[in-house]
Amino acid sequence: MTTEDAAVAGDATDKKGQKNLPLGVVLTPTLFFVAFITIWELVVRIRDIQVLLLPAPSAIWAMFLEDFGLLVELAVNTGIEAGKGVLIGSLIAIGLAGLVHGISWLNQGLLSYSSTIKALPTVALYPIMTVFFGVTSKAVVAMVAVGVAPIMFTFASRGFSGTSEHDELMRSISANWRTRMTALVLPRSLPYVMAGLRTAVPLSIIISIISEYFGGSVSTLGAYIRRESTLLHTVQVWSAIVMACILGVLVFVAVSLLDRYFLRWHSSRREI
Amino acid sequence: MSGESQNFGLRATQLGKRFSSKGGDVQALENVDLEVKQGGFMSIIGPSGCGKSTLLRAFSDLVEPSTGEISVNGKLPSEARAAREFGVVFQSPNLLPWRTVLRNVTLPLQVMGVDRQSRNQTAQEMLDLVGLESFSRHHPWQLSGGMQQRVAIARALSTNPSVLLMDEPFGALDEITRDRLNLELMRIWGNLSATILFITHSITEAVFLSSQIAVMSSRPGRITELIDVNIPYPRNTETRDLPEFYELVIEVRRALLEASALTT
Repeated sequence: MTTEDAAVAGDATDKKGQKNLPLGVVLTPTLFFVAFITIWELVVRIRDIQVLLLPAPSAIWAMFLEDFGLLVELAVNTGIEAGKGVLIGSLIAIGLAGLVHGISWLNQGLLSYSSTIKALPTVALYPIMTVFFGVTSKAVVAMVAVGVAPIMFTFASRGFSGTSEHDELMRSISANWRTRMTALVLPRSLPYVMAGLRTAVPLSIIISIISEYFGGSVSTLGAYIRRESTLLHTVQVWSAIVMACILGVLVFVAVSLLDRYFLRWHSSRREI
Repeated sequence: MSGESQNFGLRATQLGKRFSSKGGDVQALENVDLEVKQGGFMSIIGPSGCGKSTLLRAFSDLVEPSTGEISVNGKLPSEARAAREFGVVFQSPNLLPWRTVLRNVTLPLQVMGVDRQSRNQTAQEMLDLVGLESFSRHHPWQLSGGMQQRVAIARALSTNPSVLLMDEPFGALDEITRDRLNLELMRIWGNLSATILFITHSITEAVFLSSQIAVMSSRPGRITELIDVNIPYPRNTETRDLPEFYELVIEVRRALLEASALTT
């Protein structure tokens, strides 16, 4: 079993755990969170820590509510950049995987490259992107696409490479190339594509924010965090971090819902 | 092809198949002569690895014979496949898990370019035939193994083929389910006029279903004996209690023992 296969089946065990321990899955993290925030608040108040250094959660929350409209706007812009990057990176990666599938030596060569690139800190390439695209949101989108493409290529390539008795079935009914692709190859690779997206989409938010931090379009989360931190507006920085966390959680939930919808036939997502 | 071969649903003449690999060549089939009349039911029985599946796969144009001639309804297997003259039922149900039962059955019709409405109608008729009319909207995983294999049979029948090639279709099922599906297959076959080639490991299954049984030996795969089953159709549960049935079971078992003695 490859890591890609494990990722495809990964949800099954998580879900079983949830079904057996619905209380523990909800209650324990909630208690943990409440305790953490309370201790933070108390430490800041008792030790009288300066706002510049570490603001209290209550202050961050107040600022979050005050700036909510602005923060939503920033998050939406960051989200759009990340989304465009995922879309472009995935389309290129899946298209490429589709083209080279069946050409074993080329596929293997590209696979070793994508595995290597996955391990590299691609965000470090961001200055190069700004050389190509300027300090614009295009550079951020390109950076996300570059970060996401190798992940999606590995998963899509794995998904396309599978053969099964279904291929013999397709031959026995004289299916043409188009039917083979739409009725067999694409649905068969879908669990792999979705597993890739579960990794790629949260990563795309991280890459966007870091890229923006190094210089992106002004009204984005990363650029805002950078600007406010140079002005020593620590509370504003923290409220933007809260928004970034919410954005990360939202996209993860969105991908999980898509996953469950598209793969409702898959063995690991059965609900009786 | 000559005119006389038109009478045969399936015909192999001096058929041979050699598989080449790094470990050395394997003669999977050697000098196989087989004739199944149109509308006949031929079972092939033999030890594991005797080449039964290879023979069926040669008829279904999934492997290319090395020597000899082979025909389906007097045509080359590739021509017969293009003309959709045969349906294949595989060892496993081989259903597409992302498609509903109905859409699995319509797949061959979709490939043929039949419009949606008439292919749904045909598929529903096929599901009626195999007794699964109320399961059309289910997904394969919601069905038992036996039901899944019935869907596979419905799919193979959907294009109304005159030849059905069945590769140990009930091999993975328990004996009770298998006996029931054998009865079912007899009922379905009675409503069609298809030629059937049926691969099996089970002696009783072969005797119950077939008009003729070919016994094979392994390495190289050859047909060692042809046994006629002269029990009249239609066959039903009582067929299994007939003295002729027992005699034939004993005869096939003897032939199988002799076939395996040839190789060991």
